[in-house]
Amino acid sequence: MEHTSRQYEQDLQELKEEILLLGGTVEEMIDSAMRSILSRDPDLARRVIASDPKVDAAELEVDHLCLNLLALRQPAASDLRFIATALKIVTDLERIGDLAVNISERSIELSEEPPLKPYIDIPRMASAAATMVRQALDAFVKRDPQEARVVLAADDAVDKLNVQLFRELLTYMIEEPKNVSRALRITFVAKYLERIADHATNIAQMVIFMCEGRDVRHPGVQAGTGRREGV
Amino acid sequence: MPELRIRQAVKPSVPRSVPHSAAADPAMIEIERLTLHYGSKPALMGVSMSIPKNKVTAFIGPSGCGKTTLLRCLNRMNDLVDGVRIEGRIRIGGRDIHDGSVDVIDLRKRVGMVFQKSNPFPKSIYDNVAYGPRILGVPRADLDATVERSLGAAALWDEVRDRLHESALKLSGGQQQRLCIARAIAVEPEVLLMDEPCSALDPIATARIEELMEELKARYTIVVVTHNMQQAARASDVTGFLLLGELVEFGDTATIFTTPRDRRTEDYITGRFG
Repeated sequence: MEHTSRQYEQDLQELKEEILLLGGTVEEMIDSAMRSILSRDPDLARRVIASDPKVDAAELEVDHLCLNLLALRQPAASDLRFIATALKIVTDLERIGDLAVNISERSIELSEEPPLKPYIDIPRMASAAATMVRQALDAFVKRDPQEARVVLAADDAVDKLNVQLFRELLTYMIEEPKNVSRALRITFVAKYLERIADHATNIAQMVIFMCEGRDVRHPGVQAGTGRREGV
Repeated sequence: MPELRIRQAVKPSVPRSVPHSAAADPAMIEIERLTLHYGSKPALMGVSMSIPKNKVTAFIGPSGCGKTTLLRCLNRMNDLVDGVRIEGRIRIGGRDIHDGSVDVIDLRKRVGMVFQKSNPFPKSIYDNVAYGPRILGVPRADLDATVERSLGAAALWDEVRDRLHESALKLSGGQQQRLCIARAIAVEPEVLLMDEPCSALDPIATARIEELMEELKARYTIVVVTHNMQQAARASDVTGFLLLGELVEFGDTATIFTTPRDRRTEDYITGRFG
């Protein structure tokens, strides 16, 4: 059902579109950053780095829209939860953009040295993390808590791949000290991907809050010791 | 104001949102299956709720939803309206207010009321506040203290202490409303009913009344009807949402304004109309 105020409805729609635009940009950044690693393409990596200011600008714009809505519309219930979610997930999206930039920086460094080994787990991690980001954003758009729960369930697999990759790279480092700098860079990339998956998880948790009004972030911990409690 | 387009034949039902915390508070007012008709027209349908003691409870809802009617039931103001038929039970402080032994005048002393439009008597500030206590036989020697205490509690004493014998009609709108609150509490009620007490006031005067409600609830149980949802959100502990005479949802204000359980409450407080 639509708001009586058409302008309010439009403002909420604009906020949603702005988040989606930002989401689309960071998804593309992850994808390009990973392609730059796999194809040893430093120019592509530089283009990812160059797109970061766009993400920063979008973050400021989302914050601005949220603050205006809070100040001017006094949103309640599902609108309030939507705006609170937007305010929180925009930070996650911006951090995902930063991590894509970090991957690109390592990509440039890696492209300057001969390849250490064929990439196997890194593309798998990248694909899993990118899928999580996309699904989290889809869940946000469709207001679908079930899809958000799929994202939560996927995080473990990425964590495991990260640990597995670290062990493997450790053997390369032990074998040959000359491998250390490259192996470390790849370890960093895996860590960045693991962090991207964590941010996707944060987004999914906020989507569940937005849809159901329940905070699933820290099971067993309860909020609300303010003065309104115990009423 | 556009009416909510929601099916008319809503079965009277127990409200869905009665959080444990609200239910656990000692009740000052207990309403059970209250139904009220104006002639053949139903205005309230099977309303049940438990209004907690020493809290501010707000009734919200669109025009004509029955919130003022419900408020006026609490001190039997509706008795004055022709053709009213009331079924169900209201207990205040454990006592049924429709019991034959209840003196309505005494009930209205226990359950004071402040109206939408401030209505000071055309008398001095002092006489406005002293009016009730005088009728109740408070000795002359105690009147000064009662007036000072009441005006102090209504956050008006400092502004009027030097002109107690000037006409109350010279006060500003916000001051007049606080004078009416002082007049209501001068007779030491247990419950204070407020029917849109700020609708004619500017934001500063409104903020003062809301602050006053917060202070007064330590001594009184306050029930307020408001059109202003932000006011309910700011100033109340418990909120009831009424629609077409039905209590749709009743519970902790913070819950109602963040995660209401009923779609109709959600639509109303987010400003969506069908």
